[in-house]
Amino acid sequence: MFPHERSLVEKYKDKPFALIGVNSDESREKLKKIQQEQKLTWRSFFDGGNTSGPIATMFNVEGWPTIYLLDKDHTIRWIGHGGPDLDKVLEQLIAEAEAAPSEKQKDG
Amino acid sequence: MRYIVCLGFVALVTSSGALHSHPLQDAKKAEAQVQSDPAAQLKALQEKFESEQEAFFKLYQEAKDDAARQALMSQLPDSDAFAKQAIDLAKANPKTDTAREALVWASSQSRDDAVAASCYGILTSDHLESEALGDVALGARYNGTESAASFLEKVAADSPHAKARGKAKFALANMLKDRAAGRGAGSGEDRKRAVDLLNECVDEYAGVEIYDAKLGDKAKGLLFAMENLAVGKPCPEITGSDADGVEFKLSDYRGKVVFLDFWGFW
Repeated sequence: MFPHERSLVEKYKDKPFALIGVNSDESREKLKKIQQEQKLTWRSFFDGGNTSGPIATMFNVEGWPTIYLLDKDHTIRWIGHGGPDLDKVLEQLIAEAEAAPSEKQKDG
Repeated sequence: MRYIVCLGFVALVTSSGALHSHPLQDAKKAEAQVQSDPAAQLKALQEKFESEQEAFFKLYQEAKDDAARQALMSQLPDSDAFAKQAIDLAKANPKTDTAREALVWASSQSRDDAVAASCYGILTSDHLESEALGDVALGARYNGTESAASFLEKVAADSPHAKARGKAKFALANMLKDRAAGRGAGSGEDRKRAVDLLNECVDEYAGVEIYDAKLGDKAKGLLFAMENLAVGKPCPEITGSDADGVEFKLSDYRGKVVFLDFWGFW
């Protein structure tokens, strides 16, 4: 999974895109070590050290990885565990974000 | 998935030599015994898989970097090959306890959808009366294939065990919910059916235990998530802190498309 995520971060580095992790490993130290060893450049929430952490519980996550795609206004647009649909939907969301300014920018 | 190796087979092989002075002859005798005993064959197969996996994970843990880990991947034990051997064993001894155990095990080890499909097929036709199908059903809930779906439908409708029916309904609800979320348009019926199944779990199977929790609570949690965490709903705010303990929140990234990735390295 890391190679695919690294490639997405690289592909969309100049786009309105952020990859945010929610990590269920047992300690911040382990999370930090993996991030360094696996060259993970994106930020992750540390979710309390087990798979029943507060964020995973709120999102009813039972399988790992679980992925949520949010549009630029953070409406949920896709939920799943990976696969070809994910890349297609992500491509579409990035195109939408580039076509229209966000709510925040419109207000300002 | 870890499998606890039954020590019975080891005891059989080692103890048979205890009173004799000819270890080679005894080893042959033990081997012959294994060959004629399907249950022992299954245990031997599971034990072999377990030891190959342990050897692999040991090397993987010791690997220094990504490249070393990548190079190791070709040595990963072929779980589908083991699953296929277990299925062959089941086919050679149809409708026996060993066949059932072999298929339950094979279904949990298989990665290939076709291998899983043949497990589901025989389990449905020959072992529908077994309570163990409930756990096979739970294991099938992320397998979005037609064969997994029809296996779940069959166990949910026709298993004589309430526990197995409840687990299969919950698994089927999960599968339909995932399908509805992934598909976008035209997902209304899958979603509605998932909600109906979960309500059945709450009303009729609440006390069934799954993963150290009650099925009723699990189903309620999933219903809440489907209502509030569905495609088209605003994502709830997340606040927390990163690997360095620095606090941040999801809304810091407003205006950007977000790939929210629940992950772990295990």
